Amino acid sequence: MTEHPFAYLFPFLAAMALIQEIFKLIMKRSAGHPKQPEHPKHPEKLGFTSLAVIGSAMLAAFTAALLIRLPVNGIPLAGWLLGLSTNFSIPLTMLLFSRVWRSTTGAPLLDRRALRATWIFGLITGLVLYPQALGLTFGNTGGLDPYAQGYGSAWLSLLLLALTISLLCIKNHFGAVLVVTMLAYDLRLLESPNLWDYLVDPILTLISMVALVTEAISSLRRRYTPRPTPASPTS
Amino acid sequence: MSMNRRTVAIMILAACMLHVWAIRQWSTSPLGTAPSFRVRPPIVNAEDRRPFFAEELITPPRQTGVAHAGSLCELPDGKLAAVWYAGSKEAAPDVAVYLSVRSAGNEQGWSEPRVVADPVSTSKELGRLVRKVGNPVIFCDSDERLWLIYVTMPFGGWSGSSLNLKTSLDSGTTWSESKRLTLSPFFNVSELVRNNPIPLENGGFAVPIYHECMTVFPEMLRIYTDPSGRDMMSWQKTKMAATRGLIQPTIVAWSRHSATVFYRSTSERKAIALATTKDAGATWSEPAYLDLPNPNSALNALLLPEGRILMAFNDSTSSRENLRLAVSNDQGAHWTRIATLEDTPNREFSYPYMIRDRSGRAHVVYTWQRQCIKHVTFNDAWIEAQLQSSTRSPG
Repeated sequence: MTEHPFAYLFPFLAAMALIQEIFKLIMKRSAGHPKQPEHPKHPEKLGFTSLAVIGSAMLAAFTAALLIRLPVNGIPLAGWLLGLSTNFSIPLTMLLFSRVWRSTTGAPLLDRRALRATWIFGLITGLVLYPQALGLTFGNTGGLDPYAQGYGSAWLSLLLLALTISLLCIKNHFGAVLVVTMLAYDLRLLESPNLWDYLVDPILTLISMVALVTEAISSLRRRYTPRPTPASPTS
Repeated sequence: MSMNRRTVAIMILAACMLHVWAIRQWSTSPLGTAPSFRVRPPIVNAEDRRPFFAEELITPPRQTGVAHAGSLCELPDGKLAAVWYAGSKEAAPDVAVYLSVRSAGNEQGWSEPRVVADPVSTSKELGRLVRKVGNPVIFCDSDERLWLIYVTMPFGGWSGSSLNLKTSLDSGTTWSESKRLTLSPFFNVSELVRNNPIPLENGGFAVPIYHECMTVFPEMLRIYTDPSGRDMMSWQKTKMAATRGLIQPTIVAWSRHSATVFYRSTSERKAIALATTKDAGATWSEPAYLDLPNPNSALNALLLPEGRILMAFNDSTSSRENLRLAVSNDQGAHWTRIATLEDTPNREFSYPYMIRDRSGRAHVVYTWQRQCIKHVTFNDAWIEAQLQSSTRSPG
């Protein structure tokens, strides 16, 4: 058992998100229930359908909690994922939590602006960090080692604070994600004592890259797809 | 979820407080102060004047499988503790880290090796998949706590390595649960350890480590226990050389801030490389290659009295068939070969690891034909005699 039980949050959320998707598929295919159940738009007026949604979320959470502890070859299922990494970054965890939240409540936790900010942050920090960490570029940069700054650096902290304040001032919710990240770091919730491991991880960088490329392609398609000309009025 | 002005103001205040907290935590921790080595002059035993040399195998040679990558330390009671890994083959799932203890008396020899860490126990302790274990390094701190840093791999070979730490308060009889050290942002790969740590002034250690995934380069790990005594660890890792191809650094510290490091070369330049630091490892000079060959194999350096360095290395550019000792009087610039510990064609003798005990004797453990670990010990009088003999008969 790791000394940092917070590390199990990511496997738990991943399991819960997976189970919620399975529930959605089952409900779609069930006869007589082609539509998704309505989410509680007015919590003070919970109806039977809303309770069913909340109930299914609780069932998903309970099932996820059992699933991640299921031993496979003597190791809990979560341990197989943690063998890959025990330092899934806070922004990645928040993305996953946002997905679970949306599946439960129907409302997004992170809006489009926040998502885009997350992806841009994940891509830029990954491009700065990983080639250096793997020794692919540091020889050309005078030995600059940004990861080493993550163990304690006033300038890195100030830079991050400036970014956080800027995002909060324009009411971008990714600013709140960065506040949560700093709180997790100060409490040392992950195994790593390095701030970078709280800010970004390779999976976030990969997701960010895919999301931004997909968004760019969609944007280009919308721009260059010819619009249907309106029909001429008949005389 | 909307963010009104009040919410934004609260979050900005929270962000400022959290950042101040972070800076304060760092600045008041050992990592927030400039490092300095804790250097004690090598012990000189004036009574041990007759040249002394002894050698033994720690265990009988294995008939199958491998034993490799030994490390050694002196326990608080004066006994020696050796660790190494052994199994059916290097990086196999059945490889485990073994520990054996030698009492000071000659009669008893080395104890029956016992497993200190293996994939099953480490998986259970870490709560995650560990498929293989490898290179261990053992050392003792001033509080008589034994440290064991060793390599684990969840998948693949050495490129997927991570470092883990166990400690013992009873000279290796029982050990704490393994603790994973996160040292790299890319899935925490690939970090390995090989040579002796250097104690630091504020209670921690500077452990020479290296990276071996996609590229290879040497690094230094500074690791501390929590001063509050909660037995929590804090650490920091920095790169030692921008030059790729150098690994397994071995450090000799001269003073609180100056040290020399020697590197194994994995590049086409088959020679030992040297670099220096004047700020206790915060920065290192550009590596320079020595006139000592290196067949892409581990080496080890030990500080001797009067500012000399003893080097154990494979004296070849292509094989590990010999293992030699050499001495430098000028901080590693020039070397005199003084003895050949092993020299047998088509056999391997490698991965030396040296310490100096409280009586002033040097101890070397090294891989003996991959069948077991061999232990050699000698005193300063023997080194001096070998040096004089080598000086009289150069070549």
